[in-house]
Amino acid sequence: MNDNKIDLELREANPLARRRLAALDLEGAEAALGEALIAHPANTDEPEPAGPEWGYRPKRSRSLTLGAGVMTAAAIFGAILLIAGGGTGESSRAYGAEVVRFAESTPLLLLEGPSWRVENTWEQPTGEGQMEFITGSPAPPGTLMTREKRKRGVLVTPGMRHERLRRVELTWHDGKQVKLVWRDGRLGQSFYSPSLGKTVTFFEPHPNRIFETTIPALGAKVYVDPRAEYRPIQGGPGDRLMVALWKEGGHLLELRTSVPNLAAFRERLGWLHRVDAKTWLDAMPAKVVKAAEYGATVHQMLHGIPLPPGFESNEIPNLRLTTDRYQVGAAVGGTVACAWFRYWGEARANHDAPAIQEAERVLLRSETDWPIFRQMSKEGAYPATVVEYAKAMPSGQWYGRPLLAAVDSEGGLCGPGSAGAPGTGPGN
Amino acid sequence: MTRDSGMTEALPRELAEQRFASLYREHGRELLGYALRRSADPDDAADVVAETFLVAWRRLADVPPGEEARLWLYGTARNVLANQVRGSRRRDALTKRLREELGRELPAHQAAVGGAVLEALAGLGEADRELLTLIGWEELTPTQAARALGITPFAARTRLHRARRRLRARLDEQPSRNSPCAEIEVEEAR
Repeated sequence: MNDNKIDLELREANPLARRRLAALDLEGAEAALGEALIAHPANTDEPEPAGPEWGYRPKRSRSLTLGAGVMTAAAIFGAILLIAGGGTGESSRAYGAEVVRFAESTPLLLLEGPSWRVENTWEQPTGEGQMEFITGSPAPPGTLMTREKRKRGVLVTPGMRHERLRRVELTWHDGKQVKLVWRDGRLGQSFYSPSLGKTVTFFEPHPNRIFETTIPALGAKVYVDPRAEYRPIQGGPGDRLMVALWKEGGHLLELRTSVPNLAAFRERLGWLHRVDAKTWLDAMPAKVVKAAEYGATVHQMLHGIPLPPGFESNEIPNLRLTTDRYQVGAAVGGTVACAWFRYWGEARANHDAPAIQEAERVLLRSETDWPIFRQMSKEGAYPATVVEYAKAMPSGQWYGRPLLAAVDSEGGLCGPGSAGAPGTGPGN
Repeated sequence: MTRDSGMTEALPRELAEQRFASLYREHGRELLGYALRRSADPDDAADVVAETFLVAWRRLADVPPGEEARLWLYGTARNVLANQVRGSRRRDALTKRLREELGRELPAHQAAVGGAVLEALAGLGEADRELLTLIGWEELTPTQAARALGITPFAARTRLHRARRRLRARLDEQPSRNSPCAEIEVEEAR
């Protein structure tokens, strides 16, 4: 089944087609809701509803992200920040309680094979999560794709095989919600689907090959399916997708990897070890730990920045696991700068000269006065860009356009997708 | 500027109402469709629409212009849905009439129930499912879906490729598609 057929099946499975939606006679009710919403007080004490995590931040060139910036960040933010990553084996770091809680919500397992490292970790609010372990170097350029026409099945390039063999995925689910199933020689997982209103089970594809084994270091009995590949591209001599499923500590765990043979799979299972939270955190890439303590990092970065009246830190968008420190700084400094621009705009509208002067003074000095901008200036041009806009404040014009409109436009300092674009707070 | 008073009140009240009314008129029905496709109960869908547009009303200055507004609303609705799963906060007073009319118009509404594709979708991760359905049901392009999800277009294309592959695998796994006699049943591991 190709992509087009998948897309077609998906469209046909739409539970409420657009035509049927459009035909619903709801105009009166919709108008009533719209009027009620406008009448609803905008200023309430209710918790702020979630907004979207809006926009992505284009990364600076990689050369700007390394080296001095990392070291200076450590100097500025001290003990709470975790800079290095990737399992260096150092054990002198201190972790905040929030980070430790994040770690302890996982199964605290590591794949401690020689030269293997953690590539990434994801966790969902539902208690599901996944770690990816990796070894070696990426496939050489030009080996992943091929111009050869497919003749039979799918053409597997050396690069594809190389990439599969150097990765291990460890997934965990809440053991109360996802059950391990072994029936008629097939291994599967069952869970209750709220959207379907019933329990569903998915089985690994090839029956009658399941066997039991143990992971010595964990003392866990696991069920192994050594033929878990579901497409021809994921199987063949020296390249078999295998999966192990087991229960442990309230989780249902799943280790999935491509290996040359069963002995290699057993070896990888043998590399699994349970560790304490600190060891687990030491093995994390820096981006994971930074994300776990995003709120604390934002709080630290706000230190020393003058804030406009009424500014709240939860206006700063949450970049989650996809960012580096410079981008967190851009989100923090950019959000504050944009708030100052808007404060300045209101002041101009109200002819409030002291407020206008205050905003201009703060933004013109931001590159040198704001600690996070001083740090970022060594790595990139974001703070200088803020100052460029600030220099246009006295005239109110930006290359022939009103400054505020330019700032808020697509591609502007505070426009959609920019670092300063308002988004959800770190608590969301 | 404050978030509560500043965002909506940054615009004169009349302009704010005009902009909000325009947003609601242009996107209200499609957001309702989005919510209905993902809610087993039309009452929940009505709540999602009310909550999503309340966010838009309170944070009107955050809502980007043009086409981006639609994607911003999808992103907000997604977060509202996620919060609803964790603990619903009903907007009964606001949505009373809409709930009544939805009950009349969709007496046998069942969101995403039945069918091999829907069962396979239910087995995917939330991120995969949301990307696939934003494109397949809401008819967003991958780039638009990326904006709604707050990820890069490149990441969306990569994730889409992976999500299609996983969906295909789920479909291939279903005994009912490959073997008419087989049934999916639940049984604890022995």
